[in-house]
Parts: sequence; C-alpha cells; structure tokens
Amino acid sequence: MRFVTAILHPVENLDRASDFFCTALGFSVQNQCAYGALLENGAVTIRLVAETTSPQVPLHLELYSKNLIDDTQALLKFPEIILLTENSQKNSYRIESCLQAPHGVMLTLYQEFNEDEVNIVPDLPICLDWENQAVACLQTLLKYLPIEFRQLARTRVTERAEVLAAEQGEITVTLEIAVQALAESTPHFQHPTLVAALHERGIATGTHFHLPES
Amino acid sequence: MSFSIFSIPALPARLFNCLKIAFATWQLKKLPTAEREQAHHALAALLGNARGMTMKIGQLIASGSEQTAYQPLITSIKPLPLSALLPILKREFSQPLADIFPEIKESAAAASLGQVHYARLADGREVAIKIRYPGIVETVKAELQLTDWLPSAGPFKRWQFNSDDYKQTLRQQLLRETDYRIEAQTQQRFQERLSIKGLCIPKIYPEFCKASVLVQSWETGCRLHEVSDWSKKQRLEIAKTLLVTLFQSLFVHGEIHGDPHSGNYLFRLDAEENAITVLLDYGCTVLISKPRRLALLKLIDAYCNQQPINGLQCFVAMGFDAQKLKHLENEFPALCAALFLPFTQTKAFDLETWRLANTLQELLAEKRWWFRAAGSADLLLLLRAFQGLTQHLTTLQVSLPWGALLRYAVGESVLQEARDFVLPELSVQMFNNQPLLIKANKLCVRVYENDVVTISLDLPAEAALELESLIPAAVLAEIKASVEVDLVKITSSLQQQGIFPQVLFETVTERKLCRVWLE
Repeated sequence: MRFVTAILHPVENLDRASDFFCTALGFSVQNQCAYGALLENGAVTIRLVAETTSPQVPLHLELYSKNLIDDTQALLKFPEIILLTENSQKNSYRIESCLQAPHGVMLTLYQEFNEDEVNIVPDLPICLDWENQAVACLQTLLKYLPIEFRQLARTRVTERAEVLAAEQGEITVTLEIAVQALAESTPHFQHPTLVAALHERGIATGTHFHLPES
Repeated sequence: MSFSIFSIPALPARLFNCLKIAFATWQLKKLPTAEREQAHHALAALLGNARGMTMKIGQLIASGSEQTAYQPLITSIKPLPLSALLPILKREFSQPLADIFPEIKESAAAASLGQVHYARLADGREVAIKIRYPGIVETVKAELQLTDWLPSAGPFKRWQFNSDDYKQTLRQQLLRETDYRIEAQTQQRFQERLSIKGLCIPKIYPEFCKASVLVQSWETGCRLHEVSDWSKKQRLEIAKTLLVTLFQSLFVHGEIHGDPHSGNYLFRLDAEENAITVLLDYGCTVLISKPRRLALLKLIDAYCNQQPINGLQCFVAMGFDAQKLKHLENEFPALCAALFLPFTQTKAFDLETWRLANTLQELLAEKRWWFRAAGSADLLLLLRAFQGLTQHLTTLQVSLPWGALLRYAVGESVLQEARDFVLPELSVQMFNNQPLLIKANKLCVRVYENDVVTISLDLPAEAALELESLIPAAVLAEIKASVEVDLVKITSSLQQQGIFPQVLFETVTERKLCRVWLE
C-alpha cells in the first residue's frame, strides 16, 4: 500500500530554512544531511530539500491560533515575514491573517469561534413543517447543552421530532412533539436543567423527562 | 406539442405502425447523442398516434424517463371530437342522452384507451364521462396478438425471464382496462377502503357506468409540475398523501394503483389552503396477496429495527424464483439494505442520496438481471408504483421519514401480523427443477351478478390446475366464448411456472363479473 509520508519543499538554503521552521513555526528536526532535512511538529512532516534556485511554487501552511492578533504580531517579529491581510473574516465563525514568510512559505493563521462566542443561533436542520413556537423553544433549550455536544443534539432532536410527527401522520412539528423529542434525545442527567428551563417559560414538560426522585 | 389524431387506425395499419415504432426504437439506440433528441420526439409522435397499447407504452416511458419528448403523451394528446364518440354513448344508454346528460362538453383530456368529457347530470351534478375510443378493444386485442410474436431475446432470454408470464400479465391488465365496469368497481373499492386525509377519489355513479362509459364526479386541479411553487407545507401534505396511499393500499388492502404517471393526479387547495390530491384512473391496479405483502412488510420492518431476517426467504414468499435468487445469496443483505434505505433511515429521507440504480450496478453488476428475472410480472407493476412515487416526491422537492409514515399508514396490528407471519421454509426442491412449485394458499372464485356475490368458492391452490371442472357450467360457457381467457394456456402456465399468488383471469359479461385468483 502507498501512503503519503511527508510534504516535499525545495529551499535554496537548507540550514537557514530549517532554522526558520524550527524557531518560527515550532517544527523540530528529525534528521538532516547535506541535501535534505526531515522536520515535523507532531501533526505534519515536511522534507526540505536543497535546490540551487528558489522554489517556484510556495508552500501554504495553515496555523491554528487561539488568539489571532497576538500570534500574528509574534510572527511579524521574525525578519522577512510580511503581513498580507490581517483579521479578515472568512465566515461567521472564522477569522484569519495571511503572511508571506521566507523560503517560499505562505502562512495562514486562523482563529475559530463557536456559536456562543459569535452569538449566533444556527438553524435547525428541518425537513418538515415546524410551528414557529417549536423552533424557538428548541433553539433556546439547546443552549443549555454543552457546546461540544450541541450540534449533534441539534440534529438528533430535529430528526427525532420529525419522526414522531410522521408516526402520528402529521407533517407539522408542534411544540409538544419538539419537547418530547428533546427529552428522548438528550442524556437523563441533563433533564433537570431542561425541565427547569421549560417551566421557566411556562411550557409543559409532559412525562417524557427523567427526573431524580426528590 | 399535441398530436393530431381524429381516428383510430385500421387494424392492418396498426401492424405497420407497430413495426415503425419497433424500427424507430431500434434506430434510437444507434444514433449519436446530438440527433437523439429529435428521434425521441419522432418516436413519441408515433407512440401517440397509435393510442391503445403502444400509447400506454409511451406513457410508461414518459413516467419513467427524464426525456421531455414523451411528456405530451401524458398531458397533451389531442382528443377526438365529441361527435366521434356520441354513437357509443347512444348505444350504451337506452334513454335519450339529453335526458341523462343535458350538457356534455368537448374533451380536454385524452388518454390511451379513452377520453374524458365534462358533463352535467339532469339534477345538475357535475360529472366526468370517460368514453372508450371506438374500436379500441379490437385494436388492443390485435396488438396483444402481436406481442405473442415478440422474440425472447437479449437479457430476456439470457436471464430466463418468464416471457409468458409477462405477456399474460400485459394481456390481463390491458383487457381489464378496456372494460370500464371493472374500473368503476375498482374505484369504488378504493373509495370504500381508503380514508386518507388529503386524498380524493372521485365518486363513481354506478348507475351510468357501462363497458365503454365511466361516469364519476368532476374533479378539478392542477398538474404535479404546477405545484412546485406551492408552499413547502402544501408540498409536504401532497408527498405524505402519496406515501400513505401507497403504503396503506399495499400493506393493508393488498391492491395498489398500478398506473402512477403524473397525468393520473390532480392537485388543488381546499378552503383552509390544505393540499388535496385527486387520484384518477383505476383501470390498472395490482393485487398483492396477503402472504406476499406480509413477507415484504416483515422484511422492511426487520431492516428498520435491525432484526436478523432471511431476506431470500422473504423474497421467495413474495413470489420470487428461489433458484434465480440463489445466485445472489451472498449479496442479499447489502441488496436489501440498498432497496429499503428510505425506510431504515431514522430521519426524513432525501431521495437525492438514494442512487439505487448505481448501488445495484456496483453491488450486482450483471447479476442484477437475476434479481429482475426472479420476480413475477405483476411485481413489475409494484415496482412501477414505487418508481412513480419516488419521481413525484423528487418533483415535489420535499423529504419525509418513510419508516415513520409506514408505521402510521399500516398501523400496529398489521405490523404485528407481519412480525408474526411465519415465512415458508426454503426447501431443497425450490433450488432444483421441481415439476410443480406451490406458493399460493388457496384458489378463490367469485361471481358477481349486478354487484351481488352469487358464487364464492375458496379451494386449495392446486385446484387451479383443474379450473374447467370447478367453474360453474353457465359461467364456463361464457368464459370459453370469451377470447380474452384461455383456460388451457392458464393451466399450462401454472404447470410450468408453479402455482404463485396471482390473478388468473377476470371476465365481464352483460350482467356477470367473474374473478378467479390465487391467494
């Protein structure tokens, strides 16, 4: 079986390029000889090879950042790094900066945000007809779930609600059905929080939730 | 586009027309893509000109093809002038026509065997009169004789398709469709059985229905392609009605509408803006016996609930040829998973993701012909019903949870019955060339006189081999006089193919309707 082992990148000055990858980009040298060096950062392996001419095709590298502004400034302190674009918004959840680095390298630094951080409530992946009240209720209550599981829960609850409606011969998802789907598709330990949130909004919870006996 | 036809061609001309169609079809395959579009239109014109069986074939192509050339065969055939059909009406009714129908308009809707006219009854009720084309019965019979000459070649021969079964099914269906009294009874049966929200089955006026005339309530609505700009809710309502109608007809009542081309549907909105689906034309229906439909439901249910099941056993119980299916034994679980994918998804199913033809091609390659050849001819009509359904749902651009709607449509008791249904064991003989395979439970004979059952016999299935000795003499004489029913041929076919659930024949005389089937 054939598989990719490394990204090949020709450079004019092997020692200087190797030093740049290690100091600026966090790579470490695995092995090096006169005509090449194998670098890796735990996720990506790059083989730098010595060429007499400068590379024709740049190597594009994407770098994850927890703080785009600080990390961009930190990179700009290295000589020969030039800022091309700064903090440009690619979509609601992502901003990025583009930098031109030496040795034929282009850098894209990006930072991603979750729906809470950008204060966006994503649409439910609905196929049937939904009552507005049911959509609003579900979108609000999904916020009570941990962000890591929320997208999965959003899909599961929506799909379950539509199946429940269809089993009753209906094509419209009502508030009652949405609440039932929420109860059936979420772990029991989250039910007390969800029930409290529903009661707060004056919405009947029925008998679908599992609550610890008081 | 419309076809200009003012008379049905004479019989010798039909043979020539059929030959022209066969030649055009053969040539079509050889043409470069650029010229094919024009050739499709030419073939559609030939099919439309022919009416009768050939036009039915054109409608079949239209409903199963994305080729727009054939669409006029469903919606734009130019009707005959009323004056050409008045003699038929006058012959069928003893009273003066004006006394029964004070108003009859020219037709705006022509079909393969007849055309529909708006009319008003003496009491003011609006009705649709479907009038059979003059001479169409003889034409269809002549065309059916031509089918006997069809060679069994290509995949048909290579994969051992039962061509006699196909020809017999075609013959039975077409001849049945030419008698509007049978259609009227079928339509009434559907109306009595199906009570589905959003479904409208036009009311039959039996007192005015004759062999060549069918009178039903006048229904209005638009065509399927015209509802694409309706609200999503309304399109969902239509899609649900179509799904529930098929599931309930098939699994609960065992009789489905077998002609699902878009010309047989009308859509309108009621006073509350809810979508109403009008289902027309009950000439072609398919009877699926209880063991066969329970076997299919059991299989689908098992796949939905991820329960172990022998798919091969289920398909054999549905009437598939065990010997041919044996070739696919290893692929069967994957085949069933692909076939029943819309049901097994626990969410609304997006038909765009199905790609059944590609999956079957990848899974079975040439062996897919074994699967097709293993099914009896009437199952082709069932397949057509499902194919029509998926096409309509695709046009509507909505997704629905099939599994959930199936549970709703059939109800818990029928589902439980399917779960409890004991599948017939697969015997070694099924995989050898055994002389006689019996898969039907009983032979049913019913004779109706003026809509009242006068003879009702339930016999062991094997009795089908001695039909002549079982049928009452008076009825037998009428059957023998009929050119549509060939008892010797039916018996011979049963001996050769085995005794499978099927309709053996149906005859209608002046006052009597005789139905004989294997359940």
